[in-house]
Amino acid sequence: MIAASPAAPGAQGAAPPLLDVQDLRTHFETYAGTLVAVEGISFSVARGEILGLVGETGCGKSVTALAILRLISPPGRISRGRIRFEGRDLLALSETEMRELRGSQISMILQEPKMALNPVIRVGDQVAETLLIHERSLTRRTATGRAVEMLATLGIPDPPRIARRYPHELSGGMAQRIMIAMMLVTRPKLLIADEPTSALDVTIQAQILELMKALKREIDTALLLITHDLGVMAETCDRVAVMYAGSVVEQGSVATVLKRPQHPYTQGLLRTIPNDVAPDQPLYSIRGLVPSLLQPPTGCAFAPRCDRAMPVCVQAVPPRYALGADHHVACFLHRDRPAVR
Amino acid sequence: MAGAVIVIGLCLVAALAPELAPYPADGGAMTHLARRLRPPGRAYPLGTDDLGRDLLSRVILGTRLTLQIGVVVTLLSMVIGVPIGAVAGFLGGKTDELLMRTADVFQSIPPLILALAVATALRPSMTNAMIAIAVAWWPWYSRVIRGQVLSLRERTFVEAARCIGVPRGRVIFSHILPNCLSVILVQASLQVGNAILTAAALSFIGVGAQPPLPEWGLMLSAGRGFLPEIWWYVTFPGIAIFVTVLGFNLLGDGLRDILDPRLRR
Repeated sequence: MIAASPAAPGAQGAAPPLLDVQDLRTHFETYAGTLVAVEGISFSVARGEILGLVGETGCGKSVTALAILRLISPPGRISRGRIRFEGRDLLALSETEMRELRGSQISMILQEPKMALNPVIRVGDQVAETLLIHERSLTRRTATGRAVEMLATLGIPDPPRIARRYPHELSGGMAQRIMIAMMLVTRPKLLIADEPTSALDVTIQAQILELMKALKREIDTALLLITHDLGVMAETCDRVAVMYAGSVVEQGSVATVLKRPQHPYTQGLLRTIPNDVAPDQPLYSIRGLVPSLLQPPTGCAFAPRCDRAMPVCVQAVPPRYALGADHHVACFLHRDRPAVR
Repeated sequence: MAGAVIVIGLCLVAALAPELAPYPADGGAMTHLARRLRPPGRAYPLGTDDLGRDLLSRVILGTRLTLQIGVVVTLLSMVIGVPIGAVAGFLGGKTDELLMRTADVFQSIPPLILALAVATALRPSMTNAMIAIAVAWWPWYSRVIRGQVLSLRERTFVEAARCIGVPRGRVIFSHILPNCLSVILVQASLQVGNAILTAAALSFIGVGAQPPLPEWGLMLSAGRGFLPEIWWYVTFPGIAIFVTVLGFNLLGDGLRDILDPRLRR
């Protein structure tokens, strides 16, 4: 049903997507050689949409997120590609322009909330900091007031008191709320959340996800949710891009990708969810190991682990084939379909 | 915390010096030739010097000078050294090389010799001696702070600060440096004692405090010609320096034990 939807955002060229990443490649110069963390990925996020970026640890999700904010520090570099935000080419902006964008237009929630808060600054002041940096006319007092309001919006009990606490005095869930407050208090248009719930208890995870969804609606921000948790993805996202070894192997609406996955990796990934496995049955796992990014295999990175690999798979990198208006798969099994450029 | 007790005691003595000293006027250029070089006794508990001034009064009044030297030198070298170390550690690369090699140049000359040269070049006075010591010592702070910043800048909260668009200068000075505060505090308290010792040495050589200031190093210098018969002239200022330096070192060690949990038992 989704594949046939005529109004797929961005696909018609009517409204340009909020964020459009084209052919992004990042690499790190290491002593062991050049490590290509992200190899030519393309995806876009429409206004108000939640795009999930899923994949295993080390597949390049976080590097992609940092690249969007241009926060990859040496020896890492963006070696190719284009990142457009509201039509502006982020890679062409000056560092000052980029800095003004961070935190006001694009924000990012980091993995470990307790590590991401400065241990010696009161959390209320950390939330106020975002405002003070981007709205120069604000006094510290008004900024703190708005920070406390933001904490109240996030359902934090007794916000004035919590605002005066230091991070070590807060629980992980509370720290993540503070982090969210810090990133959303300026009402950015795009929020990147890098594994926002991985460090939290399962019960808190659900609360934080609900909260992020509610806030997303309220301040109308788009969300790029990075996760390795397929459950989180299924519950939260509108669309999803599946990454493997630095490439996006499949992307489409959540319903399509979950119900009718077309890339062998996505299929394998979904089979790993232990939904209705009998207690005495072994759990499914994809055979083989993630390839080294220092010496990536030629052709499709997944070919060495793929049960349906063909000779062509180890010779050439598969392009993206369009299976529907908004369902792309980078796999030669679908080479009868039109390739996307 | 013996160090804290000594340091607080010294501060009290310094604050109340004019009241505590039996002959407050003896802190200056007063001369009483009739009572010169008296041994310790009832009227002059620590004896008198070659100009007949009461040594107890001069040692007490000297506390002010000494603490002033210790604190000013420490603050001054901190003000120079901390920002340089922080910037070098945070920016890394060429900036780091440039700043740290400059620090190396300063450190390649023994601090006392460097301070001596600077103090002499600036014209001997107590103020110039303090400037000279700070010039010789800032690299010490830079190294310690640079090391701290190098590890702190990799912490997630720094990335978070950059994610909200905090400018680099502000990341260094309002996000990273507050996390170095305990280290700075420990180093500073350890350095006060050192500064006092070096200032006394400069005064002893004659390029620090000038007569008639009741500076302890200066008193040692003046009294050394009267040894060994007039033992009290150098002994009491010497003990004063010893106790003060010991006090600050103990305080620094104590603070480090409290603030650095890895050393706590």
